Amino acid sequence: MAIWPMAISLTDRLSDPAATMTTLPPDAPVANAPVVDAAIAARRASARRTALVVAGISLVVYVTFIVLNAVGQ
Amino acid sequence: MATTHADHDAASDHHGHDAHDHKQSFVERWFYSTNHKDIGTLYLIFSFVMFIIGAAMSVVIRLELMTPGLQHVDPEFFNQMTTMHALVMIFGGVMPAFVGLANWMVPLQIGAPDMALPRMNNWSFWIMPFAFALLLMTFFLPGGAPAGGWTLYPPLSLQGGFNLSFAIFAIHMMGISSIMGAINIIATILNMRAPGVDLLKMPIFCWTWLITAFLLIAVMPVLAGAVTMLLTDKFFLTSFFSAKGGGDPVMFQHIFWFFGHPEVYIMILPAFGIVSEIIPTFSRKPLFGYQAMVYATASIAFLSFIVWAHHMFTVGMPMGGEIYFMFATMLIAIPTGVKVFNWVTTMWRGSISFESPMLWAIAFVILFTIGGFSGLMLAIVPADFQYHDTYFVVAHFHYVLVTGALFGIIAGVYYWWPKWTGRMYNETLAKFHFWWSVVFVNLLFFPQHFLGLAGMPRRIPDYNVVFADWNLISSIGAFGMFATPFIMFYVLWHSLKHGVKAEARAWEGAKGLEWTVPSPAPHHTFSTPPVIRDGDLAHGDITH
Repeated sequence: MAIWPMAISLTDRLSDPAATMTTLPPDAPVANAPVVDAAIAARRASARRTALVVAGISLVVYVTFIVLNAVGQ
Repeated sequence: MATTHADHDAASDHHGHDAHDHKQSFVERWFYSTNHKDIGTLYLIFSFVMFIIGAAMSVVIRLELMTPGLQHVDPEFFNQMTTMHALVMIFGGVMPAFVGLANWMVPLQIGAPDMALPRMNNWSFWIMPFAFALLLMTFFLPGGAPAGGWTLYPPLSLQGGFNLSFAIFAIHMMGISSIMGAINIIATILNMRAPGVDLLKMPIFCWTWLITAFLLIAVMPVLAGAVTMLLTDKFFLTSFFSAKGGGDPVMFQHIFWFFGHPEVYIMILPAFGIVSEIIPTFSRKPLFGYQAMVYATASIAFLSFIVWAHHMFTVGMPMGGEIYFMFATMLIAIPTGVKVFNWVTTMWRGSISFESPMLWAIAFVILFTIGGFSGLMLAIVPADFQYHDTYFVVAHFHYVLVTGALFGIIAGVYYWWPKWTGRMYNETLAKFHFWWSVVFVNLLFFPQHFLGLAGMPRRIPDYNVVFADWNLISSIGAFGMFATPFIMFYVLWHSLKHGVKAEARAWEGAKGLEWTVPSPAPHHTFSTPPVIRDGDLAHGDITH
């Protein structure tokens, strides 16, 4: 099932944390930035899994729908 | 991990400066952006342009219908106008506007630093201009744009030229964009909420968008499947909907409306959310029945899946089917009634002030309810046999989509504008915009009830002279209504140039995390999760 790691990789790219600049700049007045980073990274990883599941559902609906109609014909 | 509220504001401010320090080129900022606020702005600008294009088409329609007879356009072009007006307004105007508002406000309201999948967010926006370029260029194809109605019913839609393939590809692209946007919103709300922002403490706008996103995930693939089968019928000799090959054209109608009815709620539920933010703010009271509002929204969404055939009573179906779809449709009035009741009760004995967002919200409640009631009339099977395909239907869905969805969008723009730009607008100008719109929108659509009840069919360029008077009034309303986006543009431009600086909490009664960050909202917010205090959340201390 090589498709699963591929999909994970794709969603990793889609949600590149660097792109959103969630990390604080070095001189930000908060001392616990790495902890915050880790928490946000964990939430992003969870979000990627949610996104994959939801995208999977929509794909399954689309394909199943056409297949069922084709079989019905 | 915890930080103080003041720290957070300082951090937000710092980010604001940081964003300015890093000089982005125009292309970097607006084409490559992954920032939810920038992408929200792009969506809103795009939808504004689409609204003007769609409104221009409606002016052509109303110009032709101003007097009986054929004066300005030929019937084929008239049909292209009605079809494209609907497609542009629904998929290009209303839906992107709500996605834009969600992009701007959902992360701010749940204390998230951005959307969960920011690059996909960029993709889902930038697909849209290409989709609409494809759709609009059909005007320049031989045979012109699609003219069989936005429902694309076969066999009529299959008899057109190559415009069908362009339109279907455009619909596919819009669908992909919508699905990506919906995935992003679901992933963001379920995973990116700041600690303490429980699901049942979220602002109603986030709730309505979460439910809307699930509706999108459920029905957009159905539309995509339906138009894919239409495409293969047209170009690959299949017979899904072609009777000559054993297919069933009525099946398309069932499939289309299985998408189409939830689509109506996709366009109205976020407006419910916006109004549910505005009314408590300007009533200076918590929203009455917060949890009831959430459950009512979910109930409406569920019911929207099981009522589709009320659009097809006259197509022909067993009596049992007609009775079922009639009563199931009427059932929607219950959760909708709960919402209207709660909005009114929120205002009851509130310390109400009538700033522009509140005016639009109150107009929404009253006028959307008119659209809801005419919908109930259409749900009654024997009555629907009389009303079907008349201007009564046109009046009904325009009260839902214009005075409902569009008024909700405008209310939201006026409500959150100070947060976006850091500038207040001139209330007198904004109120002029409101009263102008309310007068002309009713002049435009209310007479269409009378026309429909008198028997005037929809989708015709000419009509019997007995319908002349109300058509003239309706057309005058349309011309006045066409001025409203330009009035709004002036109000907002004037605000940017001359507006008074807005405070962080721009409205006295406003609650919610978005009002804890400075105005204008810094480019990056909530990089450090906020500490939630009593009263910070819009409905945080409400338990009923």
